[in-house]
Amino acid sequence: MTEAQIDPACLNRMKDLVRNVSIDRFRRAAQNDSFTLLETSQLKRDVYDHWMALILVSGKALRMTLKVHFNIKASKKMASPIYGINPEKLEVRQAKDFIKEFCNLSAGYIKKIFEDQSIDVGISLPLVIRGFDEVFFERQDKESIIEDKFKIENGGVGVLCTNIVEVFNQDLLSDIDINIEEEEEEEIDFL
Amino acid sequence: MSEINKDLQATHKILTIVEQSKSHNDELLDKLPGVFAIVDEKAKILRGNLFLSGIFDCELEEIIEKDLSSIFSEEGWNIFQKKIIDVKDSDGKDEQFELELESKKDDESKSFYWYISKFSPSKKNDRDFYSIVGEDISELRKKEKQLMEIFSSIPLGILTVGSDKNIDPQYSQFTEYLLDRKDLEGKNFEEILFSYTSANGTPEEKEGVNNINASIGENELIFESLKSTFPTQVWYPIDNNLDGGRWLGISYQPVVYSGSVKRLLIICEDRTKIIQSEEALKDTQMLEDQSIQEFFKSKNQTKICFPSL
Repeated sequence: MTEAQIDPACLNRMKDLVRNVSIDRFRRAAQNDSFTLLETSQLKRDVYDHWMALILVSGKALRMTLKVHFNIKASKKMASPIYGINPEKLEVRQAKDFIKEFCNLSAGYIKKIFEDQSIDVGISLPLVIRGFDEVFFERQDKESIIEDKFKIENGGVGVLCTNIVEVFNQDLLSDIDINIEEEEEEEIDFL
Repeated sequence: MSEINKDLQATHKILTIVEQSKSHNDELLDKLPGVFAIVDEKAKILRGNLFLSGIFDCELEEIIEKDLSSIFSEEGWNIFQKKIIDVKDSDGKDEQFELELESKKDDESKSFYWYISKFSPSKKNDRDFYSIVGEDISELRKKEKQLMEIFSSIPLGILTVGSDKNIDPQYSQFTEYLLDRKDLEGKNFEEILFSYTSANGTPEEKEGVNNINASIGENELIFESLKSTFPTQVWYPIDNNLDGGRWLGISYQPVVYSGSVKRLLIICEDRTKIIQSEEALKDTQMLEDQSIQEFFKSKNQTKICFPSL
């Protein structure tokens, strides 16, 4: 099968979409607007952190794999305000759930953006596995794929996100608006 | 509920089960005894276990990107690095070797047995990773040392005989003195210990030697029933020895696996002096008896000569 010719501008727009959604949803998940997005695209490592949460957004037009690399210590600090408990008192499960919820919020919002513009996509369950499993992800050198890395951080505490976008049909994405609308704050419930 | 929703729920359920199962497997790796690590070509740790994080004195989550070389001495790391290169250059051949690890906590070196193998995550990933497993054998070495000290200092001949009836390589140092020879390893035990007895012993002693041979590899119960016939004291001739040889006191202990005697532990002691003094005592006793008999004999003769007295 021949590889589809994809305009780099289209790939970059998808990359920016993930970045915009991620920082916005992270601030909401952590209920803290001080978190900022830091450029780390030059960082090259085989394993980024002890844990890795991943979620998939997939449809006819594209496939996005968002991976969030984190450790429990940092996650507890970030999740502490929303649980209303000291970081030390949070359980490991709660720290993981916080990151999973961030993945869910991000993927869910990306899905909403696409669906609002009549592009069907589905989202997977967020999974938490070991950061070491990053070595099992095959690097694909294709023109239809863009890989991105960025940090979401506040006061030295944060997560590192890696994002792989593969575009299958750029015509479906040509008119897409990637701007994020201001929404009313909703209460987030952690199960 | 639509069919798609049911399928989705089922898929989500199975994914959750797989996630939990993977998590349990990862925990098993975390708790592996000894060192477990996956490192890259520069020996940066990508995956470690709790034992390794203990050596680094850090949390398991902090071990990623740490330098494995930092737990070795400079000389030790040169050896270890060479082994990694050997694994890299060889086509899929693993390396196994023993190397000490210096403990930061108590400044004490611990012996580890290392296994290094190449780890390839996928065909498309051209990076070389290495799986490292280190087994702490310091306790084993300590026990071996203690055992060696016993073997080198105890004045007993201790040796084991395998199922092939030959003497095992490990025997006490005193055995060489006792038997006046050094080439004991791999020799037939009967030829070494009982050649004189087999040629010149009593029929019971000869049968006893045959019974030792027969009992190795046999059932433990058969061994126990034959044990009483085994010779417990034999003459061992030695050339150029003042006494012409030694009297050996011998005891036997079976080494039993799954009910059968796989090895025989033989303990020999030098009983020459005891036997010599016993014989000397016998001689003295005999002389004493003779002189008493002669005294009474002469006394009786005196009585005959002088009956009126």
